[in-house]
Amino acid sequence: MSGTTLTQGRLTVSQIETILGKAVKDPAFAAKLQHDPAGTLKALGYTPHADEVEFFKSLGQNFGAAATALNKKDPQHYSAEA
Amino acid sequence: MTTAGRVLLLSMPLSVPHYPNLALGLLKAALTRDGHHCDVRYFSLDYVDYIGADDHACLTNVAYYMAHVGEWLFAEVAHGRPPTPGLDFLLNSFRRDHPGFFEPGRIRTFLTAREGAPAFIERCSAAVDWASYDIVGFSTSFQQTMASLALARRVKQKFPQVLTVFGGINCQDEMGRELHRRYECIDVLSLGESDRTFPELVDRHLTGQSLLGIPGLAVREGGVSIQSEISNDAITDLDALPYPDYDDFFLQHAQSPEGSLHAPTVTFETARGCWWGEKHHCPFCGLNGVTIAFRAKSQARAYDELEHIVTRYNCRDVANADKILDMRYFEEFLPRLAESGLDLTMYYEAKVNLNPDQMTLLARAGLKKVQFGIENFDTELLRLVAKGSTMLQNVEVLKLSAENGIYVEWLAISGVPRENPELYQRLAAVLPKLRHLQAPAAFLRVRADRFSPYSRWPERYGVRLTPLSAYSYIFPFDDASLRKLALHFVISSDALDRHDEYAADAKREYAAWCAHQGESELYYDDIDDDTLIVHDTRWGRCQSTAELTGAAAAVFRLCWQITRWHDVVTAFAGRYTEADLAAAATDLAARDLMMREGSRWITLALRQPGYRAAPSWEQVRRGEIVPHALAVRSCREGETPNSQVCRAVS
Repeated sequence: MSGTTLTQGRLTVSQIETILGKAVKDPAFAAKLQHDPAGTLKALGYTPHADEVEFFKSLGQNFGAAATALNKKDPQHYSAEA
Repeated sequence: MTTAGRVLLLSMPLSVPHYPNLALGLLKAALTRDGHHCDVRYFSLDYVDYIGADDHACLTNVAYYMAHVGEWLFAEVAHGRPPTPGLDFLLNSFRRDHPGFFEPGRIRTFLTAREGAPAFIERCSAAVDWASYDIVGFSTSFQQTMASLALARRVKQKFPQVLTVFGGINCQDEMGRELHRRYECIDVLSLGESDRTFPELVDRHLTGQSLLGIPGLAVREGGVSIQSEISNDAITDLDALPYPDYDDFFLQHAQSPEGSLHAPTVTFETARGCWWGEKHHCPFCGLNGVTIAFRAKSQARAYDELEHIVTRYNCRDVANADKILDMRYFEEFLPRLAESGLDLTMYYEAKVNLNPDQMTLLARAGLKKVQFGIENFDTELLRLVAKGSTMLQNVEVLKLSAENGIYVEWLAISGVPRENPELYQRLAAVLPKLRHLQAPAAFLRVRADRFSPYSRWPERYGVRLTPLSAYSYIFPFDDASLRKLALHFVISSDALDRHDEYAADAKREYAAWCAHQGESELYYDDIDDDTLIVHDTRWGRCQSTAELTGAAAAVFRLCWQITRWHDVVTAFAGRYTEADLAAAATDLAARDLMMREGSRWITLALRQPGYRAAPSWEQVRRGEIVPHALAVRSCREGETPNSQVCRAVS
């Protein structure tokens, strides 16, 4: 989150993307975020709202699978609606 | 026609990037025929370049098609609001309905795409000289409504003189009426098929005539939405339609760095409506919208058109857009195709009741991928959804597909109104036997489409219908409005509330099938007239090789297709007693090598030479293995593809 100033307002899309990016790359940060999203975000200078805590906690269950979570191999199935 | 005009037709994201839009191809051809200038712009391809093919594949993954991610991406820009993370949608809709896909990389892709949506619409806005067009038309199949609204809004702000017209599946009937009432950026909306109405409205608009009175249109007069009834004279003579004009698509596809990573597939249509649904409407299906009446092109016309488009675009990958295959096409169209040398890789949707000869003719005609309405493997459930097929027929069609080298796409459905919970126990017992055949793309709770019997008469089925949760995060309107705008509905009832509990075992078996199909084979080799060897590596059981002789080999071999017990007994009368045959068949069924339903039997193992299990799509594309049915046919006709194959099948 270097260079990002967090506020008391709601997280922006860019801020969430940055946090997710860090979690995907940094297992230690991902673990912290999963187990204590509110504390981890507070340590970054942000007081999260309840839905933001829930969001990161839910996603945190899959931080461990970061390599696959990058999701660059979805099959290009289209014909079901063609 | 007295005045030539300029018309721009648009395909907005999200859409399949390697298919041309059939409706836009037909309308362009019709307008060109009438002397107008018509361009088709695939901003859907621009969007693939904008976000990249991999991320686009993530957004359009059919496993969560019903989440309407594509609409959610553009919902805020469509309503003139800056993008927010949309955590309410992600947590309360996407995560709830698709928990297995709620993971960081995917969600990050969604968020990045949503944040980039306004800039993409700006890019579209800047890419066209809008003032040079009289009319701009938007097609709203797939998840294209929000991006279309976003761009239409922008165009009308800058160029109010341009007439904006919406059409497509998402505009049919009540959905279109509500869209037109809610969004002033839509000048005119086509509520049904547009083959007649669109050319007429173009002519009238260009000659300064009122658009009022054209059947099937919603028009705006003095800021008020005025809507006519949908015409009940839908096109019946499909031969009167022009050949679709896909020139714009193929040009843009070739120039799209990311879109062209996936080779194009040309779309063609031979029929509309559904001949089965006219008599036995599958209660969840609304695919045919307001017009289910079956209409088909003549076989000669269909062949000429297909030959024209594959030749013109030098594209042998062909996707048929029909909802159901016309059975008359087995008489002329498919035999001609089989003999044509066109060497197609073709996709069709079909009903499962096809016999072995029909399946082989389809394979010879170039069918490589098919979508069957298999739905599930329980005859009682199939009766509830009016499929007109049985469990055993579903098994047979999967087996015949594998033996003909055809990849099958299908979805397993559950949660059917008035279903008996006990059927899921039967299902859980059947599924482990089928792991060498094509697994479903997903095991899903059935939902009701608009225009379906469930949607029209929920009280008859004892269910409640609620618009899919995604709609409330896409449209900022009240529940009554969402009901009018929704195309898909969730089905619920007190009985169905227990579904997840009583269907748990079947769900586990489907998951095991999907996960382990690649490790499962079941096939047999003929040794001599009296002996064969069965190889069984289906996941979850001990791998085995069994030699069958005598009555066991005889009944096993005879029942390669569904066979009545009476025919088995008759075939071997004087050679084996009925008691011997029955003992053999019962033993083979106990070993899960055969299945029976009532007095009909089928062998589960695949004949050799050929595929030892249902082929993957990649295997079918590569074509390295000659499918059994085609090898047999070639040998019989002396077109020896491989002498070893012929010795084996002789």
